Amino acid sequence: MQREQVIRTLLFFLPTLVFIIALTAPGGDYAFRTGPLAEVAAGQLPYYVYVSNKTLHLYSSPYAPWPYPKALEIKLFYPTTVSVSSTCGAVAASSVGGDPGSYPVDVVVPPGFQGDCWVNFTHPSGWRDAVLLRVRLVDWYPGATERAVVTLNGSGWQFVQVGQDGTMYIWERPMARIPVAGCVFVYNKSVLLTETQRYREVAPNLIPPAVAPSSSGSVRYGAFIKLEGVSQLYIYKADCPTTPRLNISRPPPLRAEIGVILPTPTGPVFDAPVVDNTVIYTTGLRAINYTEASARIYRLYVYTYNTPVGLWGAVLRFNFALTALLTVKISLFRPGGELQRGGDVWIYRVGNATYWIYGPQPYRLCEPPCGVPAGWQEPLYVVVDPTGQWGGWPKIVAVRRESLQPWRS
Amino acid sequence: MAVLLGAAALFAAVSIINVTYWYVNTTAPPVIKYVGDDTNVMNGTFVKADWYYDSNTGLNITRIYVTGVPGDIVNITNALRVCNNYDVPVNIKISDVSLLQDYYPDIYIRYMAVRIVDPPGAADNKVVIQDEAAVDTTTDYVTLAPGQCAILGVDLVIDTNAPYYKTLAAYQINIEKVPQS
Repeated sequence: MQREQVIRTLLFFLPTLVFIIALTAPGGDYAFRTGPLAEVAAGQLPYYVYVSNKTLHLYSSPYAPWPYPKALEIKLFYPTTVSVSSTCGAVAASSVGGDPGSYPVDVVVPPGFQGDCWVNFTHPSGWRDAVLLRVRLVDWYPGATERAVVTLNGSGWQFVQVGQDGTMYIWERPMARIPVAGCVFVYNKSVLLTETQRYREVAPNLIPPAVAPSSSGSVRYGAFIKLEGVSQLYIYKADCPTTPRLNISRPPPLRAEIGVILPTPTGPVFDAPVVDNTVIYTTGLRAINYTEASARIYRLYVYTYNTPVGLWGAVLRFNFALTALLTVKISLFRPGGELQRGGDVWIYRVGNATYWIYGPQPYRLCEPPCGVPAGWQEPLYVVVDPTGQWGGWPKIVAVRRESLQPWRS
Repeated sequence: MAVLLGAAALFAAVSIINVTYWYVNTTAPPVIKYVGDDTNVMNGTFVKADWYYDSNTGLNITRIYVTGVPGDIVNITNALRVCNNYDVPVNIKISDVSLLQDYYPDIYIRYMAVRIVDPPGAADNKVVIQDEAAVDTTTDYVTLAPGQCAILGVDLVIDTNAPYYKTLAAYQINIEKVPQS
């Protein structure tokens, strides 16, 4: 071959070869670039994570995996995939990549983990990078940034609810305002089973509002705790944990004398309520029977609920018409037995069951006759204890707010 | 565009709030009840009255005791006086009679009438209880001039088998008062 042919061949063949390589290479023209394959950096992190170079100071929780979505970010400069692994099982993805660009990597710290954990990024070309996760175990529900710490003093099972407005209810009775409202209750180092139930106003524009369970309205989150003296309940603003369906029987009927004696031309009559409508609601923890009933001079809004802890409860709210009638008996709620006063509550003992009532005097004989109540009466909150273990509504000793801070700064 | 204008008109609103404040005052009742002259007979054996305060409702309740004699007819002609306390005429009537308490299953109150003895002139001036049930529960109005008192009397027939010195029944009797302009 002559020299001229060689030159012509090289001038034609070599650019063609380069062109063919560029077309057929997996990375296209990236095959001819120089520089790092990728860069790994911290991604979107909550404020309580401290970052130093490629070291992340994270938390883990004893209650559940602690997710840090998009905590890391790998920026690929080549169309390839990079293997990802961690020494503590914190990364679910085994590889990440594709076209050149940025890819987030989720980190989920396993529950109870504490110590150092490496997240390794490797490539068959020999490129490698790593991020160090320094993890501290903390008694905190994962993902939440703040919590309410409520110190309670009491005994027996207590049904605690928190409304979205921060009102804390115990056995449906509003007891306190707390700074953080949420669906995660942690008590005695355990995440509690919770329920979600909506409540609506049964009559508009009342102060304080008259509310009842409903399929619409504002949400309350509820859980059961068993108190023995002074203890602390932690409430986190977080999504509800999954609650298994419990086998809860229907709420018991409200067997009690309810009504007032009214005078009529032909003699006194007992103005008892007649049920207008009833709705059953079933939550993860309770079965609730909501009933509206009416009588001659009042309307009654009542709900009873059964629980898995052996107690049951009820809430009654009366709306009396304004009348000029006298009466000798006002029985807002009387299941039987003698009415007793114990502190700020009323107590009936019927057989083995103790009825605890908070609210207006539930039973009154008027001698001489007294006026029939007028307007909306304060609600009656009833807790029925067949176990003899319940010690009444607990006292709320203290309420405070705590927020999660970086454990290193 | 027409639809948009319609929607805008639907959501547009002008509201004007006029601020008011309401004082809640009190005044004396239009009539004042006094015991009748017959309360002086035998030191109130046949009729006496007092009042009590119901703290739960805030009501002031007048209580009147009338006493019958089993087997005899008793006419009490001046049991209660109801006096106009205003400087304008006030119409009054008995507006309601109800049996509130019956202490015995037997029917001992065979007849009882509460009458507006004075001023006269009402076509129906009495309410009537027959065999313990109210059968006539309202009277006509009578008008009281300023300062004038109406006198209410009671007629009673108690069954001769009724026990002595016992309370047989309690009735709620309402007196309606309408001040005239």
